[in-house]
Amino acid sequence: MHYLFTLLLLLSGLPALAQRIVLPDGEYMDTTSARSPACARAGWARYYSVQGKYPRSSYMLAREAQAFLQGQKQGYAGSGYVTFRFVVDCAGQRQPRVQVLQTTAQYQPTHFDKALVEALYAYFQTLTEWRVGALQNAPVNYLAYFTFKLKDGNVVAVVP
Amino acid sequence: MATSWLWCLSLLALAHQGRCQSAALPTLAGPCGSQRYQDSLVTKYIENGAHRYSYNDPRWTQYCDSLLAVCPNVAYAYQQKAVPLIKDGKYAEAFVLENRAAALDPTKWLAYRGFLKCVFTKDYEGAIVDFQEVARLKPGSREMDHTYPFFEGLCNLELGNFQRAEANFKEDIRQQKGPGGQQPVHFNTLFYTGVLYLEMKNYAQAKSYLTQCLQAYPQHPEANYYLGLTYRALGDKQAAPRYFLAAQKALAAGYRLNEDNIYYANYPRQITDYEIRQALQGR
Repeated sequence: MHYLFTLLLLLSGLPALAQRIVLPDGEYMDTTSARSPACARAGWARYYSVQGKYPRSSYMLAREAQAFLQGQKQGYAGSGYVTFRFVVDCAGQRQPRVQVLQTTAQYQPTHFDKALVEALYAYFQTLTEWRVGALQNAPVNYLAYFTFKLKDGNVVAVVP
Repeated sequence: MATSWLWCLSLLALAHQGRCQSAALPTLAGPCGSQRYQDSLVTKYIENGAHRYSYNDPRWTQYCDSLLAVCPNVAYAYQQKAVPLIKDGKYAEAFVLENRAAALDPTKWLAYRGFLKCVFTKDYEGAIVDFQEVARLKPGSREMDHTYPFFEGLCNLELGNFQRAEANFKEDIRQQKGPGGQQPVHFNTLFYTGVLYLEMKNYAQAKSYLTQCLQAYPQHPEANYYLGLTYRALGDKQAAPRYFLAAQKALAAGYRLNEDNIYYANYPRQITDYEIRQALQGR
């Protein structure tokens, strides 16, 4: 019984590891599909058609993300971009399926240290105030992305 | 004997393949080198092709690819193909195309790439290089309604190179005012110059430029917000919240920085209601 309890405890911690999943169409932090039944019939848009940028300034988000990284008390390295692509459903809930794109500062594909990507993903998961997107007064699901610009392992900007 | 026959057949096949290629594809020295021919392809594949669809429709990309299959040296097709990619955060794919467009036709697409680096990817060092290079090719020109020194100033402001940013904005204003020095200056030049002086703790100049910006565009949310910050830095506890509230009211009413691309990416120093609420709480 104790073993079962310990196993369940270990398994419950697994999603926090933010493991990368490689699929034919790209790399993902999470491939879990979950959609509110109410959003199944909703239309689709891109974030820019529904003013879906996260409701904080880029400066504020970069500062928060950098503080989060520093709080991990690990030294990170590398310069370039880490981008998470995802869907926000018609109820304003970010969906768990998240694609990850990584490039150098010269926009060449690369892979940063996994611990850095996981720390950024952990910060990204703290963002819970996504806007509800609407077109012609009807709520829609929308595709969005969130990019961290890194310089020597520090977050220096956030896009969009 | 059999080996010799096979060898001869291979040679014939190779020769035949080579002839097919040269006959099927217009060469760069041939029609593809002609601007008129390139323009006809743009009309056929972009204006009457891709542009009939949203850039998120797969047919947009297919039309661009079709054009490039005929002539791989049409810069506009690369730039158009990159449009949906940059707006989706797919930088690796987008910049291969933007780089190709800028290399093929720098007078048209180098400043645009600089703009993307400045506003979309916050690659301020890279943007400055592009704008300086294109300024040598096309001095006095503009991109997205602004002079090249405007974007250089924006980048230097964000990099903390305040002296250089000041020189850039002065040059931007000089170019906008024209030879007679009478033409109006864009309100966002006045806004960013005000922000620069606020950063430099030159509050008198910050107040002057932000006030001029608000004279041109009274509902400018960011100008109201940063003027509030200027008054707060000056210790004026009555004026500061007045401007924060004006910024909040303007944002709620739908007023924005008024740049074409703010829906895709935040401009430097662009704010949201959250920052205003923080300021009103004295943070």
